[in-house]
Amino acid sequence: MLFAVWLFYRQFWFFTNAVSWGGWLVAQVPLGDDLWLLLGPLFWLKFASFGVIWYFMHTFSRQKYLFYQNMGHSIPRLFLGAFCLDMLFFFGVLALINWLIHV
Amino acid sequence: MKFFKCLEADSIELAYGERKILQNIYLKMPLGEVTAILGRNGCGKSSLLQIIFGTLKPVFKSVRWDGRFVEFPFREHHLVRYLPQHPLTPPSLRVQEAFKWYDSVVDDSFGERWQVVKNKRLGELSGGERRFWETLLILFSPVQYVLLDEPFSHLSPIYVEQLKWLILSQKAQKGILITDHLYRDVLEIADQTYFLQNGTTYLLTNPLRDLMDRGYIPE
Repeated sequence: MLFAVWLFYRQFWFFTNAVSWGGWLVAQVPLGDDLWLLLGPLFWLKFASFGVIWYFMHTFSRQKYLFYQNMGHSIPRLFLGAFCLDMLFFFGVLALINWLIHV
Repeated sequence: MKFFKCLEADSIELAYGERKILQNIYLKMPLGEVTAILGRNGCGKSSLLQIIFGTLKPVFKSVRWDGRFVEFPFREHHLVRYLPQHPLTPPSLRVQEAFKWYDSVVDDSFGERWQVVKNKRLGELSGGERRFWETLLILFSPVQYVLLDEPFSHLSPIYVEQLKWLILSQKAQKGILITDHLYRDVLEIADQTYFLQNGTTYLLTNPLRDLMDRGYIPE
């Protein structure tokens, strides 16, 4: 399952990360206490960017799903897995940056 | 070896708005046999395969495995895999990786060819080569059924012959549903053939004659 999610996520990781890091940059790179205030908006930004990806994939490249469906995976599960992976990666790196700067 | 288990597709109805694509479908695919579907372009063959696979939702369907209703056959453990008409695999994936993740085992007879191709990315292969290896990826899968949608398209005659031989060798272990416009090749390997016309399936008893009568091939 993890492999399938990873392979699936690789198709659009650049877009979601560009949006999230872009959002962080636009908010003037907050860290420390300011970062806590931005976590909610960043979560919803990620959620929205996944909505856009879901719409485009569903509309224009549904056939790409078949590779994963042949392995028995459902599309909602793949998106959920990719979303979790994306959150883990983004907020993990953000937490690391925050920690490094404040150490 | 003959099997008694079978996959059945029954009472399938598919419509887009007012336009009915499929209705009163009945297909029986015994394990250990090659079942073929022939039909003109746009008659609904690919849609039918996707409905059987479980990824296209029709108005109504009854897909049964060994008498048991299965709503999403692709989610059933080791039941079915589907080769679509378009490229199946992510182009960045290496051939060997794709086979590994699908648990598909390549026959020893491919020795040198497998060595040459296994580390290539699927996107690097020519259209015909990619089609051939994707078909094998599905055909050699450890599942009960494979659904092959136009597996011979883009293939050179030598590949078509080889693929026919491989399909026949694999049918000892699984049920195979195939559709393709190379009807002579399909009829050569099929144990039973259905013709899809006006949204309904007809089991052909004398395939060549029946195909002529139904206007699929010239007299």
